[in-house]
Amino acid sequence: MSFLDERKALTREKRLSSLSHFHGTLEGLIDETSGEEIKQRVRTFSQIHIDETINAFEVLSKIEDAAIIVNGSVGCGNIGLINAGENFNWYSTNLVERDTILGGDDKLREAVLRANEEQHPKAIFIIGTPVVAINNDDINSVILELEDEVGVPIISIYTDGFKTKTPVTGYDIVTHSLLKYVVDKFVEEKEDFINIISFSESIEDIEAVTENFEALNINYQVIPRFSSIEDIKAASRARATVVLNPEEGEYLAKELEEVFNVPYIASEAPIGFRGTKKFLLKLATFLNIEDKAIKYVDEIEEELTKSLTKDLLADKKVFVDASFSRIPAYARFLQYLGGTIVGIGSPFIDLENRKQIGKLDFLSKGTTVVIGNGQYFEKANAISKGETDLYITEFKGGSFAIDEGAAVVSTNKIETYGFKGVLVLYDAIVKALRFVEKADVEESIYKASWKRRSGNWYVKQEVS
Amino acid sequence: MSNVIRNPRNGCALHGALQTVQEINGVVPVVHANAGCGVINYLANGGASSGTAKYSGFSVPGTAAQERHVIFGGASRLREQIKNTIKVVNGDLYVILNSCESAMVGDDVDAMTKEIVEQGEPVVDTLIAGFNGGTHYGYEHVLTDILKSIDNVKKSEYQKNSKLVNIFGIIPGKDPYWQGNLDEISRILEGVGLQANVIFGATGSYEDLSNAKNAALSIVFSRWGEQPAKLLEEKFGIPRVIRPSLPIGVEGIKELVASIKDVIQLDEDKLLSFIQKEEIYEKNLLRRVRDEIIENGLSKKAVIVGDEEQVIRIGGFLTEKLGVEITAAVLTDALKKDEEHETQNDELLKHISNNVYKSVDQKDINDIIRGSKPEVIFASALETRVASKLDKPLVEISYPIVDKLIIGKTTVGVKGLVTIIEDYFTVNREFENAKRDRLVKELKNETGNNQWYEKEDSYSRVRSNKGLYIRKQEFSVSNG
Repeated sequence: MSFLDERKALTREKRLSSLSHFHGTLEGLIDETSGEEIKQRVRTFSQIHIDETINAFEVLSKIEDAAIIVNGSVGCGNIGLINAGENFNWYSTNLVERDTILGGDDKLREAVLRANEEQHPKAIFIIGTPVVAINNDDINSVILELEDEVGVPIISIYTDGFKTKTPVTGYDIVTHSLLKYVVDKFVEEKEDFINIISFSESIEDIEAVTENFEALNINYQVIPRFSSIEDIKAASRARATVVLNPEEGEYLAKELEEVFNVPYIASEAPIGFRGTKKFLLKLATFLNIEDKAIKYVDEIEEELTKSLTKDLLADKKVFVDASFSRIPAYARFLQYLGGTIVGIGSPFIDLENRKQIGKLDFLSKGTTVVIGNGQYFEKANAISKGETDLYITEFKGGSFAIDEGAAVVSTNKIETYGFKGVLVLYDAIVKALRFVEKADVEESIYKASWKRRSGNWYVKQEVS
Repeated sequence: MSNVIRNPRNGCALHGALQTVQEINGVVPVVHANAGCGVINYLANGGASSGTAKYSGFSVPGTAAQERHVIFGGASRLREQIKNTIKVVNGDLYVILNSCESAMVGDDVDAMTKEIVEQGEPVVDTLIAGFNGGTHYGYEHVLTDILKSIDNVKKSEYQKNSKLVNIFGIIPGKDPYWQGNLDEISRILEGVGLQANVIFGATGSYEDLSNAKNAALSIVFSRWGEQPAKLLEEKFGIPRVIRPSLPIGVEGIKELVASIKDVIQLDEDKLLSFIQKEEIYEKNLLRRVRDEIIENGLSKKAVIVGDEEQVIRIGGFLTEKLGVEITAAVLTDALKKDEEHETQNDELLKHISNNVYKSVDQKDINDIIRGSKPEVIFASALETRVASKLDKPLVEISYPIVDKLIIGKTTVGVKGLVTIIEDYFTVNREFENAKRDRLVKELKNETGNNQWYEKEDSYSRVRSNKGLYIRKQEFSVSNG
């Protein structure tokens, strides 16, 4: 059944029983996720983290001809500064205390008209924030009133910042709106290109994947990140869809398949040699260019293996902190380099992630698992207890682990995708091991008494 | 003026409070809000890198309020969070920060704080919500609220120090050079025989908050420092000196010292010797760059965009020392109606430019810049686009400055004067060089077949071999 029948996207918790609060072992996680739904938990101590409004803004801000209005207080609108210095404009309705009492409809109306007049966008997106959600402002009546006058779709993004603990819901909400209001509904003929779905990858990561497409003469378009409204409209005309990070883009791919008959070529994230190879060969099989692809991949493999030292991480204990879809690829690669994975961290896990859990069968069942957005205090606990040598993270601010005795590799600003990513990641590990020898270790910001405690001390069963 | 803001550069009161508190060594912020409120501040400041504080970003404790806390109230969640923060995180003082949600829901934050304080824990709070004001407001009010309650939770001796001077009005992060500027102010005060109570950054700490009551004087360097200084005056009789801006160059230092001397006595010999040294240094450096100023024609027509304090300080220096003509100045921290502050700088601003505007809206700012026909723009990274459209150099002096790591540089005092000249000269030279390169390429174009074009967007589009659109970064070259 398509989820498009719903007025707005369901939260990841409702749709896929996602869990953002877990601290235990891999065995415990397998157990936890083996049923039809995953039991919800809470943390009684937490640290601030990304929410779904941020994710929604981030991806929409990369659609080149869309205008974005952040409907909330000026602080919520401040998120646009992540693109400061780029050719990007956005609007804040700048709601103040008075608007929380009397409603902010007038300001929203003004913002829509200004965005249209000043940006001439192909679509206008209104991002919801906590103030508007609590106030229950009537966004739809403003949209209905202005849509004809403005002449382009005005789309409400139903984010609120507090109804989900899984920020990736922000991507689902954007997906839902794009499918419902932007993607072409009536397609007579398919065209010869592949949709590459990306929600969070950097332009460098995307390029590391698309260079393989170009080498194999496969036509493509990247959506929704780094795309245009026309590209998104055309998504239903594609020959097939691939996804760079399944847990972010699978919702869009599956709906394109179900509603618009665009086949979804499911694969794992194209990370590491094996991940990228699988990703490309699956697509090549679909396109009947398997022989060509195998030849291409073999040539690269030969070159790549020459450049890697297999014992780089010999005797090193490693903690990997990444989107769960990417964990198997990272773990395989780090193990290939001689490392032992003692811990994994991920912002959330849902029923679909069971595929990736299944691929972690080469890890010890006692591997520590921390599921949580950020929550560095628990990771500090695990890193310090596990006497971890290397902390490899996709997220910002990972240097805390230095104070817990680990070298830190941040993939936040480097490409890890594609064959190219293998060498870049390898190089980053070499640099991290070099830096940790010289880095000043400070007193941890976390109390020693906390780090002696069980890591799951503040994770409790949710009582409804 | 529109209520709606295009490209808002200032965050909310919570953001101001958070970026203030996290820059005080030993102080742990606890954010009572939904998960992302504080993170927005972290991400927004991320491009404008002045590094990160110990308790910042994803390390900041917070209630990460959920729907149930909005419906049923989040006070008990806050109680749980405060209690557990003290158990998990090392800190000397914990500051509870409020948010739009908790204010709208009506959580009794004060009661939760009181409860934990009664157990002897060092916790204070501020009740300002995000929608109560901007970053500057947040700085001023959280500092005032902490100073109001610090003695209840951190007992310390009341012992006057006739040399100690409280420094207010430099907002961490909002002033991109805040750390270097605090350092330079400390150096100046030390030079004239005083000791700065800086509170923030590398040399400040939570102890400075307790120590503030012992100061002989509070100096307020922008209107946003008035409230904490006023509180200390009312509570402890500490006199205030309100300055329109931080000092720049020897003239600025002399004016600052003169206003201090009105209130407390200084060692004249020490003062004279310090000023003399600064004068020699400044003169020497200005002499060194005289040719550069003349040959590069740096006495240009300029527009300046920034907080009022920055406009007064940097705009004043540019006009007084470099002969720059400020055709327009835009104040990005001004309120439509400011009933909270005594500071009144209209006359002073008139000396800097005949055209002074107040706006944070990008369209207004761009229109002002365009209409003022500048040769150079002193502003923030948000003016990159308009500068490039007008084909004019942009010297980034105000928030946000992106893609530059600023951790110790100053734009204050004699050293700050050097920074500004260096930055201005460098930007101007890079701009001229790029222009020269472009002219050479254009010349080649006319004689060869290569045709160059630059797309407006960061990501331009070219056709793939199969005729579909793909994206490439930077410039694209078309061979016909």
